[in-house]
Amino acid sequence: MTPTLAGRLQTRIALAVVPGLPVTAFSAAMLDKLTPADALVGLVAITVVGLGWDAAYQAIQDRRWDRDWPRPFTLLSWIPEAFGSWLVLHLLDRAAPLGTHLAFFTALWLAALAVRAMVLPVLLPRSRHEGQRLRGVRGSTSDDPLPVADSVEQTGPQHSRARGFSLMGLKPQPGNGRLATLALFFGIVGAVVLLAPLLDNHHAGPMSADALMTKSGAAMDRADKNDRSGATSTDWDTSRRVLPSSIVFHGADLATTLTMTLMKPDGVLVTPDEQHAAWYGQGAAPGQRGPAVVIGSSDAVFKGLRDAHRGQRLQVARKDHSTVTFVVDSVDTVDAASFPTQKVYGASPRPLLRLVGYDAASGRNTIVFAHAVSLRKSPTEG
Amino acid sequence: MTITPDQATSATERLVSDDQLEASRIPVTKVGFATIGGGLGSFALVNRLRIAGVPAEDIAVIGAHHSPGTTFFQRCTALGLTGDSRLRSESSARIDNLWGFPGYASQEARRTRSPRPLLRDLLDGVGGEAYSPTVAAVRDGLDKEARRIGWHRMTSGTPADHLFKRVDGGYFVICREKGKLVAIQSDHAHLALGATGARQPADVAAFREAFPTSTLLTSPYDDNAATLSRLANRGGQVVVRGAGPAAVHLLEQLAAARARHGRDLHIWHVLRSWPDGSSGRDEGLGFRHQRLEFPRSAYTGTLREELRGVDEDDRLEAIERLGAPSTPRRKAVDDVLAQAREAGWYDAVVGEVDTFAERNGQIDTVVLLQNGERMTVTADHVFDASGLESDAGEHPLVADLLAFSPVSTNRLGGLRTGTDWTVDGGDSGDGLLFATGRTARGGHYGPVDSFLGLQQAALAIADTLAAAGFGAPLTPLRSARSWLHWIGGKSL
Ligand SMILES: Cc1cc2nc3c(=O)[nH]c(=O)nc-3n(C[C@H](O)[C@H](O)[C@H](O)COP(=O)(O)OP(=O)(O)OC[C@H]3O[C@@H](n4cnc5c(N)ncnc54)[C@H](O)[C@@H]3O)c2cc1C
Repeated sequence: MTPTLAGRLQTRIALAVVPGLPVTAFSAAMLDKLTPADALVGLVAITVVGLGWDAAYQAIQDRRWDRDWPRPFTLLSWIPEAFGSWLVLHLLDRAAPLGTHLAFFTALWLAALAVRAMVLPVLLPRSRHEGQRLRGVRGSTSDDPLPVADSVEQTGPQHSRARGFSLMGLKPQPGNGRLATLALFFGIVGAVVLLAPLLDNHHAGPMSADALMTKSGAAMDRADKNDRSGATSTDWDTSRRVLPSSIVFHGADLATTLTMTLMKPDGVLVTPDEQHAAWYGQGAAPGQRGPAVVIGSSDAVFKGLRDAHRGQRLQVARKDHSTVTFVVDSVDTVDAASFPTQKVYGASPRPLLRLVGYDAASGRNTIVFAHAVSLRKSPTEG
Repeated sequence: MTITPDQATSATERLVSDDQLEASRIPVTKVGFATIGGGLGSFALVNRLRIAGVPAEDIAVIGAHHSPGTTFFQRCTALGLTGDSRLRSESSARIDNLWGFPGYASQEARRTRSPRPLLRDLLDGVGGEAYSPTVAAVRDGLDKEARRIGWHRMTSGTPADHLFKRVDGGYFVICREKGKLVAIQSDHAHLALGATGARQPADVAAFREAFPTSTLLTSPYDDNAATLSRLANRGGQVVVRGAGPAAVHLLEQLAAARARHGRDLHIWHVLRSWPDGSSGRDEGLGFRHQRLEFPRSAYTGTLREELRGVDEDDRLEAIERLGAPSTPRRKAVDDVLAQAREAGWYDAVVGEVDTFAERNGQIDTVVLLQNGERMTVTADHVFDASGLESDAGEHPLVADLLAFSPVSTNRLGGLRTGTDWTVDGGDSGDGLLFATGRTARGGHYGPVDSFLGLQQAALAIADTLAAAGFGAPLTPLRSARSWLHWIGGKSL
């Protein structure tokens, strides 16, 4: 039956806990690309964004003469809530791939629907009559004398509530003005809190990253010793651009020389030949701060990439005879259509490496994310 | 009657003492709670009390019938509804299931091994006709639940003549059993008397007075079988008044009779107003189309809260407006009427009926049209489908209460009640008097006369009673356990 705003908000928050938390844990376990932390952030984002949607739904309903809309609209709520929450997560840079997010969201959404339709009425039979409110609808006890709006009654029959009332004309009248404001407030505050970390990143912006990296003669940033990259050499100048010559990755059965490739005007990156990997010369060089990108064919030279896994080491030899060692952070397989551009090319003060294997036939990309841990100088320099 | 008003201890408020009853040799039975009516309103409340563990011996159901659905199904039958006919309400408004889950739709889906009922319920309001339970489904479910909670152990089968407040708190309900008066003493009491019968607007009352033996004017709740078959066989002119479900059902029956027998039957449909959709509702051609009797949010949503919050005048006005006669939109009806309009055997007349008069075996209906002119329709029969009587004061028992206690009625004919369904001025010592259903019309809640409204009232009243020390609150745990008992069909 038609809920009230208070009912919507209370129910949503309760459903975020049960079944929300168990479903989140389950989804994180079942979905490859959903880490438990991301799932939890996702649940919070979905719920907070949902509270905002609740206020919006109610505002729309309250604008209609019958303070309601056809029931199946409830099912349509999937669309704005699924994509809205993904967008917010995406801005936060915490978004799982869209497909994963939709699967996760749908699991949460279906579980919430089911609990609302089948469990809530059984546990709290008054709730469906009270606009889905959960507070004050449990059976009363002696120290909690009368549940629900008795306070209204006590004020006597001729009292109307303080808020404006226009039932007479059946004009638009937000039934719960105060609550709507509250919900909007929480929605906005929540969004701001969730989006805040973004503001930092935004100064650099994903597009300016490459330019920053290629700029030579920039201030001599030293890799921070506290940096997780844990670079061993104290005089590792991460702003210096040294071109790579070859790559060795035992875990992926890979050893090849590196040529340089540039992006074609149509935005496509290709390797000059199948048997060799190529380094994307417009981006950072391996060992330079920022992500260095190396591409190769998944059918040939990068065949072994899909067997790579977190924690493995690989080396890139550079033209100055130094060698940078990287450690694998993660391995991802994605559709070219949902290529995580930001994750692969996004700016970073740390020297990173991405091996991108492409399969022309299936259109899938296998991506190895790695970060630099040590630099061995050339024997002559050392 | 041995107790007369002048025996009462107070002139304005009549109270009755135990001694008075003893002196009149009226046997007294004691219970914790008595419900007067024994219809669906009583059933909903008793069901809730029994579910939370009140023993059957503590409850008295005082009504003329042994089954809670008797009056309801009699009215359905009178309207011509059969077991397969669909009612109006939703799947989850389930009178035999306090929780509303599983609803009628899933039960029907299981029985018919088809997902259709569930699908129709899911698409309520957008695609096709929404799901409503059949009369038979409601009846079977009700009978089963009545057996489960031991309804017959609580019913007396006798109507109540009086409800007295007891000097020391609580109530006496006086009934007549086999010619002798008996009293039931209860701590708390509940009134759910429903409608007395078809409503009699002033024009109909005047007609009855002028032509007491006439059979040319009937209500849809009368036995119209003979009239309908005569009209079908001979054709003629017929007036149908009203725009609610009963009127629509009559129109359908008349159209079917016309099609079957091929006689020239002309329908004059008299409507009070011609809603044009300006209110935002789905309106047109004299009908207000609405899924339920009230907009859905008046049952549980924002409109419900708004109604609770306003003073009586505004509330009654809003209830009249929101609950104005309406019918669910049905394609079959739309098609029949469109066809009838085209063929010219259906005319809508918009205005107030001024008078009815019988003349030469026919009946004249004088309608005051909206432009101020009068129009007379001469017909062979008039069906007055202006609804059921809503004035609780029409019940002798309530009339008596109104006369001898501070209890009062509002403009819509219901007892004045609070948001906890207690009757204003009805309490007696620690005893509480409640009213639900039509008896509480115009209280703080709009759709009182509905399955959902009766159950909502039952839940709230039982909580109030629990707080007053009668019965237990329905905690989540108890509720879940009771639900499992319901599912398992465990007798209480
Ligand atoms: C044809 C029809 C279809 C309906 N369809 C729906 C629907 O689909 N969905 C929905 O939600 N609602 C529907 N309703 C409305 C509502 O659910 C019923 O009217 C319901 O029966 C109301 O319950 P009640 O207890 O108030 O009255 P009733 O069920 O009428 O019971 C009142 C009882 O009180 C008894 N009584 C009267 N005076 C005394 C007295 N002095 N002493 C003892 N007993 C007395 C009467 O004999 C009667 O049995 C419908 C109503 C009708 C008439």
